[in-house]
Amino acid sequence: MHVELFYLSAAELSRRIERRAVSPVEIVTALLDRIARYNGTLYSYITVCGDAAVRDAREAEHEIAAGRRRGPLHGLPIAQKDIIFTRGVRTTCHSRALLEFVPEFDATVVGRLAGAGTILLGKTNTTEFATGGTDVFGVPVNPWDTSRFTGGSSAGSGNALAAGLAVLATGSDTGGSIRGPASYCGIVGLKPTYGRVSRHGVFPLSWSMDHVGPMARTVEDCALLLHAMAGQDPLDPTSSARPVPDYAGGLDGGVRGLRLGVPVQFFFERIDPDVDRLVRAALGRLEELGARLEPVDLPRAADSYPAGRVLIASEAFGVHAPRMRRQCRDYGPRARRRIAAGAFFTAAEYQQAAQIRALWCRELSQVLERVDAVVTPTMPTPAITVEVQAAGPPPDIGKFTQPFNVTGHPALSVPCGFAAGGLPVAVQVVGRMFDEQTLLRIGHTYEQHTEWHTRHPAPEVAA
Amino acid sequence: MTNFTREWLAAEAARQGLALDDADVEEIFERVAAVKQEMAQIRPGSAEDIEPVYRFAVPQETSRA
Repeated sequence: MHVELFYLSAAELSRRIERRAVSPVEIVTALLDRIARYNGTLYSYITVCGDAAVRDAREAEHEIAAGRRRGPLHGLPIAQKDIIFTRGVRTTCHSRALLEFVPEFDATVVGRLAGAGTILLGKTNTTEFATGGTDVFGVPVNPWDTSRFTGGSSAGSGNALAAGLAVLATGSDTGGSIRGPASYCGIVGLKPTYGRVSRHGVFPLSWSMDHVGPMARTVEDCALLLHAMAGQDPLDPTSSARPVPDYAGGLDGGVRGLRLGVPVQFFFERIDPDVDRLVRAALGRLEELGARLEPVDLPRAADSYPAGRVLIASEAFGVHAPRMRRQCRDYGPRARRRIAAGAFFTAAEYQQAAQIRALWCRELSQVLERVDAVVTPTMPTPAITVEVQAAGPPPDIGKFTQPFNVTGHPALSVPCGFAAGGLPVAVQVVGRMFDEQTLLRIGHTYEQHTEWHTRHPAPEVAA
Repeated sequence: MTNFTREWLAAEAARQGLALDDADVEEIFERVAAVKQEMAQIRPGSAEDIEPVYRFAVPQETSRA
């Protein structure tokens, strides 16, 4: 089957670069052409680094030709979410408050990915400060149906990957901002364990719940990206010193004998019937492949949702208070209201939220002593419409993702089919602290026995 | 603290130096009141043995936006 260059996986492109079947310049040029054609419809990128990307691709090509290939990501373009600092390249956080901000340093993940040989293609669209609206640079729409939203906040990374405007991308996730767009757009997104990937140089929303992670079209590509992003960083005191495994090298173990927990409460309640059907079908497929399904009790998951909202709002206000006092009206209404809300919770409520976090974390960790992973839907419904998003998304939109930001456990979103109307649906796999390897193995095994990841939207039709 | 009302919220916003308008106050009030109500329904019955985890770390000097 012929696959266009812009829809090949990063791993496949890497193999082709290695055997000189394709050059980094060809890849970057193909993506820039695609961006020129569709960015005006999809609003995937806020800033495109066209000339610099071609120059860097040429340099990568010369290095590789000279036998100095740095590894599997060398010569591959990367799209960075526009809350991640890039030295010399505007980083707006999609906010009027930061329209002209050009960082003087790279975020640690940007530096690491550059060190691995990736080429900065551009800065992807986000909801304002990863929590608000999209009032300044356009509404990123879903390439599967442009009347639908991409999910937030790593919206541009999600739709760029789905529509072939990126090969690899980064995202950040405080309540589901990697996994939500991954689910809505039919791509793969991983929220790593808290501390696995440095947050230094990523504009914070909530210090205790922010995570930075990989987004791609395949699980293998996420594994390659995570390997380059992860590791201790002296500039992020919460980053972990644990060694970084070879994630891509551990994908092929299969799922035979793995115990997968299926929550009895909360995670399958009040969800779209197609989501329920497709996630249960995915569980059935994993069982056929040798996994053992076990019902698990997670009664505190529901409590963690309001607790998480208190934590995010309070910490977001802590981050933004000084700027908000100076520039309150430069914030869009959604961001201004969500962030300012944190000024009105009491210390007692914040402490209660911290206690609920401790109880929920303990409960989940105990369950994960019995099972290797817990499987849930990523989102309760397929992509919401742009109108619903503009009016304010349902308050429970992140109810299946945010609980794992509260605890810091790793969680992977993998496409598991299409609902009526052709919108993607995804399954979420949650694992033990720092056990991204098992999640990636489960996701990869499922992906190898299904064909969802081979389907692509037709943005020219949808537009 | 006084009762959580729109008037209290507006006054507290002004005290904190936030230039919120009436529409902001209305939406924030609805949002915060809903979460406070949910939190009130899930107060732990006992605080024993649920001490939140704290990690103390020395922050690094970094320049921010």
